[in-house]
Amino acid sequence: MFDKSQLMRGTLEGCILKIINLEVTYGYEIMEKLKNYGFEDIQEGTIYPLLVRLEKKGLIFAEFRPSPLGPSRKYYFITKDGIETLSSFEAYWNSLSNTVKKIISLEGKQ
Amino acid sequence: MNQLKKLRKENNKQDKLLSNESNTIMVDMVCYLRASNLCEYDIEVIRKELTGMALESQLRNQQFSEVIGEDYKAFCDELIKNGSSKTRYEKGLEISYVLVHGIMVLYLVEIVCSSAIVNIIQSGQFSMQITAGFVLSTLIALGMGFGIYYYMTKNSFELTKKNRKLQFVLIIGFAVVWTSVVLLRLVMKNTVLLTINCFYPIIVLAPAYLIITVLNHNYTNSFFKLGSKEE
Repeated sequence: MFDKSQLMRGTLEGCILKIINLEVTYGYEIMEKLKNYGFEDIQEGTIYPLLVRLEKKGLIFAEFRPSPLGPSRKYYFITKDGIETLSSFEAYWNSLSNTVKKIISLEGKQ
Repeated sequence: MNQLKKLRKENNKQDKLLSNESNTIMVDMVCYLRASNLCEYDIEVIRKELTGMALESQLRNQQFSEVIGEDYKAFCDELIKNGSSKTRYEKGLEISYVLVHGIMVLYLVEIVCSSAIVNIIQSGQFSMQITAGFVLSTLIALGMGFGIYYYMTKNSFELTKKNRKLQFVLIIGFAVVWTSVVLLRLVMKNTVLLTINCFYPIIVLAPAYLIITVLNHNYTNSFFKLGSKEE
């Protein structure tokens, strides 16, 4: 069976950067957006370590803001390095997905 | 007040709002994170964020386990992998604090429980005998303290499962080691290593404790200054 976790990690990091680049947002909202776009198995617990990682790498930064639901929420912003990383991710992903599509569509002798 | 202590206090306050189920998960996770090499500042920030996530899940009538997944250990391992590790300086401060604090408490207990206190009150003599029993029992007690802390935090998830056999083994083990410490203290009480003025160790330990506390205070506050600069 194909182990999707490794592929998912790098891909998700790029997708999270893209979502944060579009608007300042918080963990639960990022997860909801990812779910709506088709990452159905995603949980807040899956993306939280990735957000910690992106923050540590200086690609995003965060601040606590009051939430209407009670406890303060951590809102994420993209940094200059984050925007550069996102651009290279988008370029690499487009080239990679085209290559993979070509290979997958090959019809060989069974 | 130390900024880290302030944050810890806020987190403790928020913890009280958690449901029993969320609280159990949080306690296990925070204990496990404390056994790791993750720096104290990161642990408290993660704790604040996870508590917020747990409280929001409660308001949505959702179980916390549905938010972070059932494998809490794997979740914590991911956080440890992605978070900032303790520096050598932080580790040194942490160990020094525990050692100086531990020795100071045990030494004060020794003054009160040995004949030193009687000599001070009755004849105004401040001399005190340092016995091999005291030195060895102090070393074992400190080692045991470190050992218990490390074991309990590292195995927080397993210990919550209420494994009766494991609990029995732990209680017996603790009783055996503790009895050995007391026996050692009593058996070697006449093996005098040196006689000193009982204030000398206090003159050394008290400033050491103060210096470590100030260094720790400055070190933890530097994270908060860094955080506000980044924002």
